[in-house]
Amino acid sequence: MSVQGLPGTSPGLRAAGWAQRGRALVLSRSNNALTVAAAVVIIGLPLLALVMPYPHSPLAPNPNAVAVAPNGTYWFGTDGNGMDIFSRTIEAAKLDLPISLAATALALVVGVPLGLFATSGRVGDVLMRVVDAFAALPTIVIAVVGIQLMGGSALDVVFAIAVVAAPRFVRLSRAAALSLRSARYVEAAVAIGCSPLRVAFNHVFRNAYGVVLVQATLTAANALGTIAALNFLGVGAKPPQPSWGGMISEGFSMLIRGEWWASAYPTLAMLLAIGSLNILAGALETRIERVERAR
Amino acid sequence: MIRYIASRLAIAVGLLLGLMTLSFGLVSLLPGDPAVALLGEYATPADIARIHGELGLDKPLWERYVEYIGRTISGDLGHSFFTGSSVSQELWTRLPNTLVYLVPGLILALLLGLAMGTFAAYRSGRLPDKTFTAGVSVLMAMPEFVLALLLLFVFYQQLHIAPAPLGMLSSSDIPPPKVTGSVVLDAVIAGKWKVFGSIFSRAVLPIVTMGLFFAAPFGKTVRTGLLQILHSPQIEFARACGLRPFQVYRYALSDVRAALMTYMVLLFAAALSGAAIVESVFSWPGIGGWSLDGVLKGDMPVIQGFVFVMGATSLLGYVVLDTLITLLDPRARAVAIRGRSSRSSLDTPSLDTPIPHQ
Repeated sequence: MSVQGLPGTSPGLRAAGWAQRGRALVLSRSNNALTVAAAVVIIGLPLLALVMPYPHSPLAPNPNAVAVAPNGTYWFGTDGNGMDIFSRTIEAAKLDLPISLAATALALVVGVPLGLFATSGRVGDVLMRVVDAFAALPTIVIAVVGIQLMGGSALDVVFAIAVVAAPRFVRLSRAAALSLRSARYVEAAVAIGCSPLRVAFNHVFRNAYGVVLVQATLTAANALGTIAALNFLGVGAKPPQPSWGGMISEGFSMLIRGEWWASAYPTLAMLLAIGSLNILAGALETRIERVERAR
Repeated sequence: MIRYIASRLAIAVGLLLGLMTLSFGLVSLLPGDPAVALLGEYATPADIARIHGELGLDKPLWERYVEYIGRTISGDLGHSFFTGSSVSQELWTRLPNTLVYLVPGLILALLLGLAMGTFAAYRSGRLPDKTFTAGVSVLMAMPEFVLALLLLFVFYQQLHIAPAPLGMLSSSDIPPPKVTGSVVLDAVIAGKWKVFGSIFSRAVLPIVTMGLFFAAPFGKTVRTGLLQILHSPQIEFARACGLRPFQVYRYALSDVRAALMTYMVLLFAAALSGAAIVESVFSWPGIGGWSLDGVLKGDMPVIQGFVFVMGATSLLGYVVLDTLITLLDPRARAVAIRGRSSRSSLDTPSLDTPIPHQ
């Protein structure tokens, strides 16, 4: 069922449409300085970790410089093993941010189709009850169990976080599908014989993806906190490998003695990343509201 | 009505069975051998086989599953692989330790969230609202262990007014005579209010951590819900009738009640997760730290027992919640009495504030 000549039907036109929308998103006047700064942080931090020449190795301890306060040589000080906090804080972004984004993407890919098709019938009912049961479980403990039993690699962390986050997308896309089910254009699409798959993605999801995108950004922010919490508990990244949560945990005993820097800087970096994602989510939400009002 | 509650309970029983299967499958189907965890990497195959026999791991999977379900229903959650102590016993002695800071923490969160959210909604767009929104954004970006560390640094390290994060009792406290096995309950039973006070003073920082951590998302939900309803025709009408502001507020609250109650139960489930983290920071001898320890060591009965009991508690919460919401809301009540309704309170679409770790 394709009508020639309508916008968005040929692949070339569709690509052009997406490109235009992308340009509009980046160049829009509503992107204030805060939003741009947030985007720069999220894209810039992992890039910085990839290309930046570190002043000291993030993995090699210096036994002559244990628990040194921040100074000219060690900008953020050193930790209890004599490792440079600055290099480690940046290096951690290389792992923590991609894990959170990958986990969110995985949760999205699994959760959204489930939610779109769980709107009716016995299967849908059962699925929703399963999602309910999942929400009843203490997620951190579930994630720790999963990661421990799978082995503890970065990929295992991605899986565990995705499993924990997916129910939210199921619920959200299901709510959207339920509210759009009786919309005129959805009824029309069903009436002219569009396949359920096409109705679900081309008609229902296309009109609800904004909410899902906002939720995804918030989920990524949330996932960063969860990853840090897991690493703080000693699950996930193994010790010499820096992670924000792990560094905060290592600095805990120093913090109690008053040597604040070992925990403070990774905490700041983590809060910066989480805050940036939250700001991006807020900006997206405002945009979507404005588009909806303009309709 | 009774039929409705019965149907809810039936669903809950089904879910409980599913939960048992899940907690069994979670531990049994994933790779990792507890015998190896128990004996270390250098165990001989003979030793491993002996441990397998002792733990019943040499039986086929379905047999273990049937056995597990049967045991769990009869209330026996098994014994820890490592310490040999009964899991249900451990849970019962440790649960009061966790509740001693969890319940006040959640109450603090609810009061703070309700007060701040209401204030922000009534002053929307003005300075109090903006301050609130900024504060919530900052708090929501903070995982609970960061909050706990911050509080510890300020109140213990800098100001020296909070006790060290070294557990529930100090070395100078004399533990009360053992009656139930739980220090908190024993202190109350024996009337040792000094010990109880000492426990409580150590619980203040965990309580504040929990309170602040959960007040932010709850307050945001309150604000969003109230903002919508405060501009609705029904509230305009109530105001136009000249009702007192407090009366109007009560009407507005009754409209967001269902969403808020749902949120509270979700918060409780999240708080049980958070307990593991808070307890590891404060070396608190509760169920969170204990279960985490079990998980890290690969102690299967501990993991299964914890997951099952926590899941069951939350499920019970959902059933009570669903019933309460239906009872309180005449519209939902009418639907529930008229016929089959598989609507769950969790379908409420207005829940858009993500709960940390949920």
